[in-house]
Amino acid sequence: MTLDEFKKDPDYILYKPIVEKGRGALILGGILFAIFVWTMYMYSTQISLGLGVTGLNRPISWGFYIVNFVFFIGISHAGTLISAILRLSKAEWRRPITRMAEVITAIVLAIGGLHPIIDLGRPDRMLNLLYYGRLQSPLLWDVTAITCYFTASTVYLFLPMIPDIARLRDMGVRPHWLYNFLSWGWTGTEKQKHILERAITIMMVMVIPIAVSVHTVISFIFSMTLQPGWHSTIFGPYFVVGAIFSGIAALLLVMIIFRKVFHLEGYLKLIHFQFLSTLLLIMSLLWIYFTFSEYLTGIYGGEPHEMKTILYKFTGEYWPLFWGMIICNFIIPVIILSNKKLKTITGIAVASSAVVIGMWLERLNIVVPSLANPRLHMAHQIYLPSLVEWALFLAGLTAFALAFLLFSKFFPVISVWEIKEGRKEGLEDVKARIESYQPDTNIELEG
Amino acid sequence: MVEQKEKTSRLIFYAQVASISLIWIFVSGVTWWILTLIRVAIKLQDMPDASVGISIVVIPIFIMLASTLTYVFIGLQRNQVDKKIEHKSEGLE
Repeated sequence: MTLDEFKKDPDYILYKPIVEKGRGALILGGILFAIFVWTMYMYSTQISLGLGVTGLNRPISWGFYIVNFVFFIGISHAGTLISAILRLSKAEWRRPITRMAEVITAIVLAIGGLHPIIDLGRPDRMLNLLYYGRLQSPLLWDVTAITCYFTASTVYLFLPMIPDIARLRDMGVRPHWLYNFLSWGWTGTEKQKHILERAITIMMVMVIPIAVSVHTVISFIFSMTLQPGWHSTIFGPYFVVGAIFSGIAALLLVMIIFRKVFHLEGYLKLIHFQFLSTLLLIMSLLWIYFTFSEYLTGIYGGEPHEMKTILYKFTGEYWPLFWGMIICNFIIPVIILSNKKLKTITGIAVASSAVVIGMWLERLNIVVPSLANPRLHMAHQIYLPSLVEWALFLAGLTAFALAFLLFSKFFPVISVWEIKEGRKEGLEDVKARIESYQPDTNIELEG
Repeated sequence: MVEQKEKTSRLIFYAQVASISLIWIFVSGVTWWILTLIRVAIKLQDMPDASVGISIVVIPIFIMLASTLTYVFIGLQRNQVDKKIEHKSEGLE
């Protein structure tokens, strides 16, 4: 098949950003890269001058870096977990969504995983983990769990990409060596399909517990301490719920952006957004339930240090952040997503943006107010992030946008072979499945 | 031209084998690291059971991940080789 014939493919629009590289992407990439270089310059000041350039102090020794670490790892639940659950439950509407979700996971995990190293001040101290690590420490559980999740997510992203990469190779799209290298000799025989499907099934079963364990383990770095506001048994599930919640919101935002930029209206339809946003609404309600339980238990117990921290969150210096979190994570999404008229693409974009901001505020509300109210008597301090910290937050966001842009210029952001498979076999599959759900009639039973 | 093409595909195949070997090197590295930490914990009597508990979960997961990738790679390559032999024998006939 020649390139001209390839262009007649009904799904060519999905390959278009790869085959026809426009100037816009180059300009956007250049801008993002320039911002990223500036943020790295800011980071170099931290390396040369130490953590003194941040707003961290005593007792607030964790700030933006740890907040962003938890936030980014939370967003990573967008992908692999959602994609694996949808694949496992054979939700047919998953097909145009899974690839984007998996890419978010791989990129965001890489970004989030670097934040504790930034927080170390001296990145060379990371080597101490190799020499003197203690597996008894929840911090090391984090390192192990995140490494495991990152490996699993990358494998889970790569395997379903093989048929699409092979198609790009066959079309002679450049860089030819890259597609040749990554396609692993895929020719699309029935035997190869069987091997790939089996591997994807193994991966999706494996990935779900790994993803759940990662955020549970991240919650342990807080809940395993006796710090007021952190020492809670529900922190594990609370963090997992929050992660899935923010992950869905991030996925919706990415979908909306790509739909608009790459003109994917024919693939990412309103129904996809409505299904996912219904999940977002459910997660919002679950999140408020966990938040309510968390605070009610603390308030009812009335332990003095715990009460001080809770009141500090409600009415202290950070009160706008706490109430902003409630507005963004509960009030805005519930108002928009429970109203049919407001549940449009614009409405969903507003709700998702609110949730992403709200979940970032939630991470901030967990980390900072607790540290500001230690059990030991210490001088009261306020944490205000410095320009370096803001710059590194921007670095994370820029790296995410840049990596996604790069990905979209080399690989399809929607799994093309799965779309084709859906057209061919999906309808028959669903029909057969629905027929199998139907209750047997008396006549059939007697028969 | 054909020779050049074959040379390139052979090079790519070696690179693919190298990349698969890398994941095994990575998994071996993680395993060795965890085992070292267990050894240190035993030596210092520093709750070695916690280390052992974690390693029991983590090491098999990493091995499983690498095995899945290797399974796919070998499976796809073997099928490709079978297909080539089939084509050649068809051509001889």
